[in-house]
Amino acid sequence: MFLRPNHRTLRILTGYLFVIPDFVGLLIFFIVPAFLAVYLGLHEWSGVGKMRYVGFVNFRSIPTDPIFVKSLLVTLRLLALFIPLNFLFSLILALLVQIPDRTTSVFRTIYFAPVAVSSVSIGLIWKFMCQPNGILNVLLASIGIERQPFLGSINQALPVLVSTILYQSVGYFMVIFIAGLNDIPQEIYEAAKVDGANFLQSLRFITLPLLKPVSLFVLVTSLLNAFQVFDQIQILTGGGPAYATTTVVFYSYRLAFEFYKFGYGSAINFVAFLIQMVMSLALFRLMREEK
Amino acid sequence: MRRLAFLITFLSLVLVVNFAIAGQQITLSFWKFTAPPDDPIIEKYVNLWNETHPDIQVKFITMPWSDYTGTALPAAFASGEAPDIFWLSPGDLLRYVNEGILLPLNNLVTEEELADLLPEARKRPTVEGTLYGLPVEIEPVAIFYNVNLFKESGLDVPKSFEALLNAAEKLKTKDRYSIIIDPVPSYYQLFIWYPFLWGAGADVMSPDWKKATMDTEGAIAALKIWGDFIQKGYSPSTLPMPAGSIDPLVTGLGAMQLVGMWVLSSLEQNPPDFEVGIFPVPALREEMSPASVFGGWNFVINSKTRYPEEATAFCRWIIFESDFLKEYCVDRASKLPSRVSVLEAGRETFSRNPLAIEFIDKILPIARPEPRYPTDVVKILMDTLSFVMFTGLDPKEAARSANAQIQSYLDTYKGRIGAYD
Repeated sequence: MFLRPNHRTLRILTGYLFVIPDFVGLLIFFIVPAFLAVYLGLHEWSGVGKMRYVGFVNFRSIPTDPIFVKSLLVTLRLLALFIPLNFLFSLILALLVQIPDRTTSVFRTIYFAPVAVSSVSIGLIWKFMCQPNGILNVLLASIGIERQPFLGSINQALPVLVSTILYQSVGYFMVIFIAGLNDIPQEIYEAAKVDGANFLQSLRFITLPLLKPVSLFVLVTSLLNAFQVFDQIQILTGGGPAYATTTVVFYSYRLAFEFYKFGYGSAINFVAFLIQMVMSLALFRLMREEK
Repeated sequence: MRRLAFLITFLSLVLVVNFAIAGQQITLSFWKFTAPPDDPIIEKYVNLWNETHPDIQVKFITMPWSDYTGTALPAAFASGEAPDIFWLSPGDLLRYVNEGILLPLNNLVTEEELADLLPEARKRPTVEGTLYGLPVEIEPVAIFYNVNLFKESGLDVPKSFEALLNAAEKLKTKDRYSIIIDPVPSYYQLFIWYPFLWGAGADVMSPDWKKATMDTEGAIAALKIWGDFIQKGYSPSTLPMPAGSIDPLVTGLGAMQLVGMWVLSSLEQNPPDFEVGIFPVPALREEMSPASVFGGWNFVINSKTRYPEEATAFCRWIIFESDFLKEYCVDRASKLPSRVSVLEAGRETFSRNPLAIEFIDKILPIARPEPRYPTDVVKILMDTLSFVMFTGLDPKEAARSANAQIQSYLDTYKGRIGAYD
């Protein structure tokens, strides 16, 4: 009787001890910066000199800033392109290389390789490929199609950017899907086969429903990754042409570090954080309701 | 025992003397962005200073460009660990002056030293009559061109916007652009666009910074010609290499390139297989005066430094007393020194490169220092130019909108006036 509560307390304490390092990291690198962003957002600061408290002026300016509105639309377009394509391609690749043998191992490595390369290197490679005299235009010219501006076009720059991010991320999510697929008991597929189900029916009625938790993870992670993409934009387009690839996060960076409007940049960054949180929660809720 | 006591006394004395010497020694920090061809020369002169001034040591620290212009200086000033001496671009000077961060140097530099600075160079770190820095070099901008292609096409050097567009039309081929500009919105892009604005007789605002002046025929023309460069395919809308390097011209990507004098050393080291010439950015009409812009860096001193006199002594020494400017600018013939005496003495060295002489005789007299507008104005200009270039926005409408935005900003502006006298 006397030992039981002590044992329980000890277990709880041990649990907390294990959590502490993670919590400290979370506190230092996420919670404190989020509050600092709000604090900075309430000030005007040019990066040097003193901060001046301005109340909610920065936050109030956001909805009337046409570039913010444009950057929000660009972000939504990027998400609308990236999230479904990333989901689809990584699932298809996972299905293709799911069964481990010598050939699929080679393909798994090939598909995963871009994940191991830095986004700066990948950005530079794609930038060279998409130049007026780059390999893509050479290939187009060889089949009689005229030179395309790609990164210099307000219509083509975003799809090129999305392709670059997809190229680097699909391999990672493929591995997540493979893990999810391997968790589905083979007996269910065998039973379905006995009942006469074809591949598409098995996919629709067995694979996709049982992959729901993994799918949720993939959707939320790809949403957050796409929202925060920075390196590729910086390398490929610098946010241009004419803001065609400027996302909310990239706009806040430019405001702070190019135009030295740290207060306004922080305010926008905090709004971006709130948007991501709301979108992630909405996704969680949607998936839970479907369950 | 006696020996031990002697040893202890001796060691204590050594320690005391050491501490006394260390107490007298001052260490100044000097920050700059990393620039591999330039830094060894600066380092050489820092070492020379350190050897001859054991009591005032200078620690030279460089960091990548993006860190230097982005996070390093703000973080250093915010934490109270800012450098004593650093390099600042003219475009960024006003932000620091408005925050009271730069040490005024008027009383710390002699009249003779001031008189030896090129008048335009002296203006660059001067705000409302107060000197806030010492200029290092002057690097004017011009249009570099492939002389062979001009001859083959029977083209003369263009002297108006219309002639430049005609030349661009003739020089454009399936595999070659006519003129290379910077397509990415940046401070550099605006820097090389200003000569078009000034050559069209326009400016961004009145000299007293009370009135926006973008809604004019000249400003519209300056916006339009850059719009034409992109919309008509005369200029690439994206570049694989930095727009500030001469590689696009040398590799044949373009027949002309708008770039600064700093590329001369690179041209000398890797000469292309064609003749390179330069001409000033043409004026809107032939009867108008063409213009150029020049950049270059300033030595500035943190007003919060504990050692203002020592920091000034180092800056004065490196600019006025040492051979730094000669070695940094003249010997490489790719930058013009800020001092008249060094420029004159180096004329013979410059003459080994005919393009350098052209810069001195033809471009420098029409060059103005880089404007130092507040970042809000810079952003409005960048956005306006970018929308004209890439969305086909009517330059008239763009100029009108920019004018209204700049005027609205100027109406509430409370900082110092950054116009040059």
